[in-house]
Amino acid sequence: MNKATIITDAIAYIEDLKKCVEDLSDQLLQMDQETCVKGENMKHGETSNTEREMKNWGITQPEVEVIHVDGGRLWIKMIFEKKKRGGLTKVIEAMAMLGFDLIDTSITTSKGAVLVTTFLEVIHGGTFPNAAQIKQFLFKVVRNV
Amino acid sequence: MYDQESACFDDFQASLQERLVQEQDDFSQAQIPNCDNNHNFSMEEQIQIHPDQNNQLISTQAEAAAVMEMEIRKQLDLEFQGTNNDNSNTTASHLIQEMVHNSNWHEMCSFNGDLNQYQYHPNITDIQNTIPDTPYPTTPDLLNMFPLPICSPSFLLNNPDSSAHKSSSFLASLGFLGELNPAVDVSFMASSSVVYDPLLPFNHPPQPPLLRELFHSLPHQGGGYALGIKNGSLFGGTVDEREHVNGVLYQDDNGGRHFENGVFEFSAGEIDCIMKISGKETKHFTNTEKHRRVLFSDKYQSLRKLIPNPTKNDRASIVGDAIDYINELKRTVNELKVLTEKKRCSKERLKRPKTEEKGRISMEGNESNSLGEMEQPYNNSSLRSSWLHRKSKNTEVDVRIVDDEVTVKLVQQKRINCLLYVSKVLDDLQLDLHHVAGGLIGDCYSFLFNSKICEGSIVYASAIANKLIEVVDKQYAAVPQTNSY
Repeated sequence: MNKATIITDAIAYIEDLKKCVEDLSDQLLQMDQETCVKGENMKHGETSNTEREMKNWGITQPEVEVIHVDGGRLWIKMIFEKKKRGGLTKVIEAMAMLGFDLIDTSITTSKGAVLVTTFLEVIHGGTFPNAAQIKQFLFKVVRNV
Repeated sequence: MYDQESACFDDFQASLQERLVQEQDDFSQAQIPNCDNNHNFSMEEQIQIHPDQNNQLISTQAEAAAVMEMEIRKQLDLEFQGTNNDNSNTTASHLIQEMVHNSNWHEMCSFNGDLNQYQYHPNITDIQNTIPDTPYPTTPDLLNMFPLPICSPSFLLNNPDSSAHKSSSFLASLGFLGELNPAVDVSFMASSSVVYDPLLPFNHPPQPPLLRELFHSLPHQGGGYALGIKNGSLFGGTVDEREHVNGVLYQDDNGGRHFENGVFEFSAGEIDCIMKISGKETKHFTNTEKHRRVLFSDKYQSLRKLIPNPTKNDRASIVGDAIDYINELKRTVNELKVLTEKKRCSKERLKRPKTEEKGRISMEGNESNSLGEMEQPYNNSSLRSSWLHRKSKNTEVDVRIVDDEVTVKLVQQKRINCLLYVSKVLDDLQLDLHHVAGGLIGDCYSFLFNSKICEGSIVYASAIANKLIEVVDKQYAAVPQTNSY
């Protein structure tokens, strides 16, 4: 095995592996298409369980807190129950719609309950946020999640 | 050794004389293609060498024999050249002139009135080798003068097994004059039996195939190359021929480039020590070396193209990236195999009675209940795991999959808030977001996403990574760079 053959073999092997990956993924895709219908049964089971859990913890209804920190910064905390699959994304979307710059965020899920802690900053030159309005807005969002 | 040679040379001379006697008329037309176009080569003028006629067949044994004689002379001269860079043809001419002058060549020439053309110039000027200007009484003395293990073809015929060490290489080259015995020893260091067929046209149309045959029959391409080089010098008559031979060599050397460097260098060394005929041959050698290097670097470049995230352009990092990529591909293949296996099992599972199915689904549905998942039959067989790391210009994505949990680390270097888009992408891929953490660190956005693969989803690591990079880069391209702060 000299250098030239090593390189040549490497090229051939990489191409071979790539072909394998493609074949397998096509195969998988085909199999998935055949069974996609059956996957929808699952969601119904999820909701009943999470409600039970929430009750266990004392989380009755979603909680939203919006607090101003000095300057143009907001601190948002939300606790709610995650029901649907795309729920978190909706929350994130809502936060993005506020028009603030995200400084950092932490979203944690445990047994169906979601804790969202976000630190937002006002975009330079933007309007000074009204905490109460934001709170209400988020409350609505969270309820629908 | 030399005694044997001289004895054979005697035989050769005798046979040569016979041939000369037989064919006197055509002797003047003898093809001596190995005479080069050196203008100093007065013999050429005398012999009226016609380069254009080189492609004509030699119809007579006499002609071939004479040519053989010339070849031998040439070989002798070439041996003498050593590392001499001077135009060997000059020396060859002088040497041959000397030899002819000192030998009883005239005796042979006298057989044919036309052979007077072969009375060479006595103008032996600077012979760079120390050939004593003694009359050539007998063949043995002449040969003894030159410390060369040259063998004549008849020697080959008579003593195929006793060829000298170095002469074996010459033998093979001499053999190109005629039909090459396929039993030519490939090592060139052992004796070889070359059959000399004087009737065969020794001109170059048949030679390239012979060359190629020889190359293909050789395990040491370098040796073949050496052979070719020698042959080039041997038949370095006209410039065209030489180029032709060199062209053949070049073509054949294409096949040789894969051979060990050691072999190549061995042959190169051998070539160098035996002959540096002219600048042409050495230039050809460096051309193939350069060609080899170019091919080598082309291979590295083509390897680099296959890699998705090439970093630096130097060979070491190309190889390192290739290693990483191969490992990643192997992991992906394994992951996909596990997935297909799972999928197949789940398909079979879904065909079972529905009541049982519902019970399972509810257990699966409880995200926190990992025990329920453990009871799935297919989970016990293999734990799916994969990891991959992808980089693009502004984004780094690290995707790890263990069983049904996907962890995505994303680093976005351009202050573009991609949290929303990434979340959307993950949703599209049927990944249930559970944890998100991250934020702005300096100028970079860094996020960590923890998600669960939904049951039945066939997403796999490289798909996730690719999609993420695609989306983020799109965002980067879409958002103008006016995040002025």
